[in-house]
Amino acid sequence: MICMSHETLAQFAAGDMDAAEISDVEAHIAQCPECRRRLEAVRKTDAALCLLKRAEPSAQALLATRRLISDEIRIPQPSEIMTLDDVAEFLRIGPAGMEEIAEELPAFELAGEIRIRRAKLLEWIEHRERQYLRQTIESRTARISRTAFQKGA
Amino acid sequence: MDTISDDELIAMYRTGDADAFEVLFDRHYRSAYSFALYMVSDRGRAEDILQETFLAVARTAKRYEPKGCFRTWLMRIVRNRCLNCLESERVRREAMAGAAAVAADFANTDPPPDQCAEARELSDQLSRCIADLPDRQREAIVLFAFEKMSYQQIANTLDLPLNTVKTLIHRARGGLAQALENDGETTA
Repeated sequence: MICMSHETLAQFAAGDMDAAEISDVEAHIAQCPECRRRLEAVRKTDAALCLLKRAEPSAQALLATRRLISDEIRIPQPSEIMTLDDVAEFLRIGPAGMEEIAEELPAFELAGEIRIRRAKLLEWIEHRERQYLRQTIESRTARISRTAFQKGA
Repeated sequence: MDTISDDELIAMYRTGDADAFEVLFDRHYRSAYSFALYMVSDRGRAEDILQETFLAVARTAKRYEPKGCFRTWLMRIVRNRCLNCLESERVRREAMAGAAAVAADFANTDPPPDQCAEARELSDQLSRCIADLPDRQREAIVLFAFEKMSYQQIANTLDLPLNTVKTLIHRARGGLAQALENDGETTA
């Protein structure tokens, strides 16, 4: 009698066979003590596999990984209240430019300091965008009218 | 947050909820690390791979398609990083030598009191035998035993046909049973 391989017995133990194959294995192991022992070894291995635990990284590595991930995922949120320096940096303009727009900025005073709310600053930028667009359209219209007048003349 | 699915957590992270990502990390870091450790057999490298993997997940979360397969996606990233690491022949040689050294990290450290010593010894032996399996069998059995993945999930993770995965797992289980028997005879 030729013994069955551990692989075949593992397949049998997992129930991953068709009915005819299962009958063959059952008939064989009923007569073969060696294969009964092998099957027992497979089942014992399966049980032991279930008891294995996942490994744990060192506490130091885990802490370092958590910090790195936190730096990656927690992007610092910009402050809602801005100083004039924050505004200059945000608008990318120097001291001369800041002096030019200082009076127009939607600022407020707080304990002797000038502050600007980010939301108000964004509204102000949008207002300036609309203003710029209107001026561009007006200047184009004026140019076209001038050209038409010159051609007519 | 424990009841929220991985896909929901990823969706929350995409809308700026960093806490959701940390829950995902807590949920899966042991799986990712264990898989990497069995692949590269070196604690330092496995820790680096763990770090790189979750940074990659954080940076590419937008590319993830929410079909309930986050773990499969995660393990594919871990595996690709392990394979890159093992491409170097020197690393591969060191990994072979280091397999036995890290085997104890997987041992069942909390067996029932009545079978403490025996169970610990068996899981120690088993971990060593897993580390000695051929690469593909080892990958498959680790996902099967630790992650309780289905054959289909393993096939998706390893990019292999379903029947190949079944064969790898049966072969690995049979091989482990045989190796444990041989170990027992040697130590008896």
